[in-house]
Amino acid sequence: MFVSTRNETILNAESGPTQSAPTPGARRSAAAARASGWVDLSTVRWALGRIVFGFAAVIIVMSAVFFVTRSTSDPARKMLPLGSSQEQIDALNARLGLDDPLWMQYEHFLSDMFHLDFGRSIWEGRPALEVVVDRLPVTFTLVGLALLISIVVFVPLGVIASLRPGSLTDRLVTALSLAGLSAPQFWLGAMLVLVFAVELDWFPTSGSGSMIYAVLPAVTLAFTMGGRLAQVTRTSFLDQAGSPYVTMARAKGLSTFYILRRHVLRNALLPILTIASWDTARAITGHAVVVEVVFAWPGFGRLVIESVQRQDFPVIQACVFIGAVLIVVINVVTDVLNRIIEPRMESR
Amino acid sequence: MTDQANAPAPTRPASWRRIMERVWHDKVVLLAMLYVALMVCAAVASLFLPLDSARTPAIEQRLVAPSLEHPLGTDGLGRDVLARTLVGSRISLLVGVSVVLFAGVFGTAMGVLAGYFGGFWDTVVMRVVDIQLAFPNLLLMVAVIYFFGANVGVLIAALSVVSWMVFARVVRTTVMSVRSSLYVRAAHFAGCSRLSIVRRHLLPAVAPILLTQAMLEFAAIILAESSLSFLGLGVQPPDASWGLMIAENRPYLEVAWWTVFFPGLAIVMTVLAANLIGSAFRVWLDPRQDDGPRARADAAAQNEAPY
Repeated sequence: MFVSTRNETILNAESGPTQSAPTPGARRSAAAARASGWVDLSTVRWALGRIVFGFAAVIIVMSAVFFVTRSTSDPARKMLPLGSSQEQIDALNARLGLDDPLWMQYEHFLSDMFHLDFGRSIWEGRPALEVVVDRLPVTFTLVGLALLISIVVFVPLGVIASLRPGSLTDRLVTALSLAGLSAPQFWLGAMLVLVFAVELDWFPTSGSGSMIYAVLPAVTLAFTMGGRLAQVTRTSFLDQAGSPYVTMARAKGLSTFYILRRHVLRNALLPILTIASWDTARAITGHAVVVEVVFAWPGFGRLVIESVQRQDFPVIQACVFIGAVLIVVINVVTDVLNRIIEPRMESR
Repeated sequence: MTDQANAPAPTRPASWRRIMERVWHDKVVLLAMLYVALMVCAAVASLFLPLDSARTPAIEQRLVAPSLEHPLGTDGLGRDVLARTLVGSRISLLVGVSVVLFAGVFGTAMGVLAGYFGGFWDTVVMRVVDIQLAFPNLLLMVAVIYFFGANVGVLIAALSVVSWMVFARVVRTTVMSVRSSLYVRAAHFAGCSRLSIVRRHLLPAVAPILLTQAMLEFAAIILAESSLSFLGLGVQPPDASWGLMIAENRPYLEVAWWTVFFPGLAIVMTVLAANLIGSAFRVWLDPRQDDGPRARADAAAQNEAPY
């Protein structure tokens, strides 16, 4: 949800007309840092700040979950099957400490969270966090494959579109990415199944096992991720195309391909990679949930929905926690790497 | 003074006329606007049409292929797909419009607070926005809906809570650029109260970009609503919603494609239309971004979905 502004910031910082020139001091310190092979102190301090902020964000997310759930209904009633007696509810409340005063519960909740203890899954009886973490590799496979497809297919499409803005190719690429951004994954997935699994019988309709099962879900997910990536690539390359060094290279008579590879790619790559990594975090905690349900892909997202159906609250809580941690970690790592690679970009 | 140099050109009423002219010349956007108007009419008309076939099952004519009697066929319970799609448009519109309204009003208020009053308030609002950015929105909505129960009211509330930041940020940026302009300072020195400056000068300046953002957000909300309904966390049967229709009929996909295809097409068309209008406006309002109609997909790509 938050990719856009930062992405704009980066695009502007890279090449926008509003870019402020780095002060000589900053340039020198950055150069010194690079020369010494290590980042300067201000970057370290800034990175630590980001990490602390990330931790705080996770705690606030989980606190929000805590207060929302405690304010509405008693969780015990939700967890027990319908028609359970009042004694059963009271017993579970006592066992889970839900009859303590709210501040005490909150204290317990926080201390449990720091110990990564979210209780046991009601369905499986194992620790909830373990249940969630077990599902992660399966989702990473799916999202990784989708990311690969978007980088291999959609980034080149964005480059081709940027070569001749306004041409037929550009329009087609634009239409494709707009369609990808506008189509719901559950429908796109169903249509792909209809064509490639039912009519053509190239791929299985759903399930998991070998890699062949991952193709259709990954392609579905790649449409959403790639639609954005193609556009970001196009913008990023177009921004570079107008800069003096490209004109200079052209004047020297270098071929377009050489200019793209040696000059433009280097400068345009950073925003593209940044968006790709932020979108990966978003995909894991968002779009992949829908795709996994459509294709019965036994990952993290399907676990979330299954847990809702099974009223398995500890697992839902652990899922939200893992989701928040993933987003924070991926974003912080991306931001820090960005800052190290491109010290000019002091966006915050 | 550099602030003023970088500030977007102040919005004049004339720019509205220019936009209308451009809409007329850009047939794609015109078409998109006609589609949205048609959809609104259909949603309103569906309140008065006798659409009993949308809710009453008729087992003897289940999964009938598209024909004259049932232009889009019937679903797994023998209900008319066209009727259900029409009824479903109500929910999409209701959720889309109310979330944009709630999130837009609250987000605008926060944006003005941060952008105009600045200082402490700016820090507070922007911190809250930053923290919300780390929220796994879909997961949070799942948790919230699980506890409050799945219904349209909860859906609207949950989506509003996760979408207001978009508006707050857009409004804040615009307000900050207008704040230092000559006419706002003149109004201040003429003794206008802050509230009246906000009302008379800031809000009109924010209006066009706000409207643009609302359109893009509307598209994102419709996608989110249909996804949540598909996951069983939004509209509940026997009510009709596009996402729910697809969830209900997925088992029949192989034998009756029309039950899944048409509700999905309705979603795609609506989201696409809103995206096209919103991004075209965004490009037209921002002279720096204006490198022809092709830039608009870029604006859509930069928009944020609630999950």
